[in-house]
Amino acid sequence: MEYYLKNLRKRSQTREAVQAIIKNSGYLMMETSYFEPYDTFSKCSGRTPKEKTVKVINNLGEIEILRPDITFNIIQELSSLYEAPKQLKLCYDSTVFENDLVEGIKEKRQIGAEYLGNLSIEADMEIIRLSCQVLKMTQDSVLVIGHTKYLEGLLKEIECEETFKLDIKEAIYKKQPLLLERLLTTLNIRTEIKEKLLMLLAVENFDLNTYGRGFMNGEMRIALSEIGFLIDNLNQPVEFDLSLLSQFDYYDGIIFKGYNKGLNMPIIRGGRYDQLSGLFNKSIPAVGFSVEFEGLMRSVEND
Amino acid sequence: MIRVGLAKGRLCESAIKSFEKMNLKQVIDLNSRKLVFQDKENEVEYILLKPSDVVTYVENGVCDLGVVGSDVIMEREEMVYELADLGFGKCKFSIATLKDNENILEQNFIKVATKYPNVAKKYFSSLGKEIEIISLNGSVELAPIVGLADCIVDIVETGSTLKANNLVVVEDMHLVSARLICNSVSYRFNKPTLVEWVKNLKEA
Repeated sequence: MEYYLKNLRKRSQTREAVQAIIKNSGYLMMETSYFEPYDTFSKCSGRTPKEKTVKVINNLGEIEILRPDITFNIIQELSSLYEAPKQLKLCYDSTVFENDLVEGIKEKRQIGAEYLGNLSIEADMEIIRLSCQVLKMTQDSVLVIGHTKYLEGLLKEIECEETFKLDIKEAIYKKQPLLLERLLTTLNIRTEIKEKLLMLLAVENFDLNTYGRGFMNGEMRIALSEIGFLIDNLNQPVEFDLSLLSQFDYYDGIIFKGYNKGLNMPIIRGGRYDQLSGLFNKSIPAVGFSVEFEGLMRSVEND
Repeated sequence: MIRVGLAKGRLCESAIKSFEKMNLKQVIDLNSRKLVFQDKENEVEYILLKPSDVVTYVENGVCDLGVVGSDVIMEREEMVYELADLGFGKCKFSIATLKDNENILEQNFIKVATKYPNVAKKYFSSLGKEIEIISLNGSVELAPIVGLADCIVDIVETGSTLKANNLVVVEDMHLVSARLICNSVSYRFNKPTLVEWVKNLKEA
């Protein structure tokens, strides 16, 4: 019993501390629905794999899922209400659901913030700073920042089927240089593009200049200039990695993950996702982050 | 301290040589029964593991790095980063069957015996073939002989075991070699060391 209460106290303190960091920057707590139609979910492939969602049947016999993430939920809910160019700062502290193939249904608490209606990199910086502040609650942690547009720019130059591009992304996500090389040799692509893709997985210290050499297109230039801006202005101990990818396919721009040394998964995930609202025929610039609360708790306890 | 998991068996001696190339001290004694060896000077600890466990240890972050054949990595499909091809332990994933039964792949339904069910499933589905997998833990060569399966999927180094059992390769699937793998979180915290090791490895 004593241990149980101690644990409750600790959880409550940690939640309040994270909420305070976010709310102090003017974010308003919001609540969204636990359910979403299965059809809308399937439109956004690359979110949680289908078999990992928890399904329920509503009174009309239709399949709905318990939300696997909250960002999607927020955009869905706001898409009918939002009027440009309004800027909104919203946050949440709620549960998402996952059907673990071994352990069954898992409830996971996520705390996060979304900055909507602001296209500028200042918004990205604010979200990254908040993430760094949360990470500072633990020792031995690091925030790694990447940019989806560098890889997207390179992939645009390749002519092949979309499913093949997903295979390429998967090889980069899992950092498998030899698999990537094998995939690329089956395609007829320019050597400079191929070399740049392989360079993403080279085990080398990050140097922005090497990425700017040789072939470049518009997307890649945007990526490098935004990363360059962060290097000059962020003033936070962060790392950069242009091969960083997310399993959520909706990110489009700056993307980041926060890790703690003792924990085998990221405790913070975030990035820019301007295109997501397009699924609901809206255009809402958006950048945000979310904290895996259980992960954070364990990192705090490790210290 | 960086902890490295090494696959016991055919890869181990070559793995030790690779670590010498990375300018690390040789502290592993394969003749002893010890499973843990420490190089205090370079702050590296080596542990000897069953090959299929190396991926598990690295995936879970108990080992920061691992040396293991790409056959095991392909089969396990876990989230581990690959840092380098170590260039030894080379062999092939192949489909083999009894002599005189070489047109087995033209059959519509094939029974496949293997220690690598995931690799086999993926490959045959890319060919659009319907198969039944029979998972075995060893001596897969036996399966076609006794009629348990039509063919086998296994790693083939010299082909002498196949020959001795009257089997022939009907198709090569993938090249296999030893890889240096890394835990995905550990990669973020040990990057400078890893960069140096991989550099030394390539220059050697």
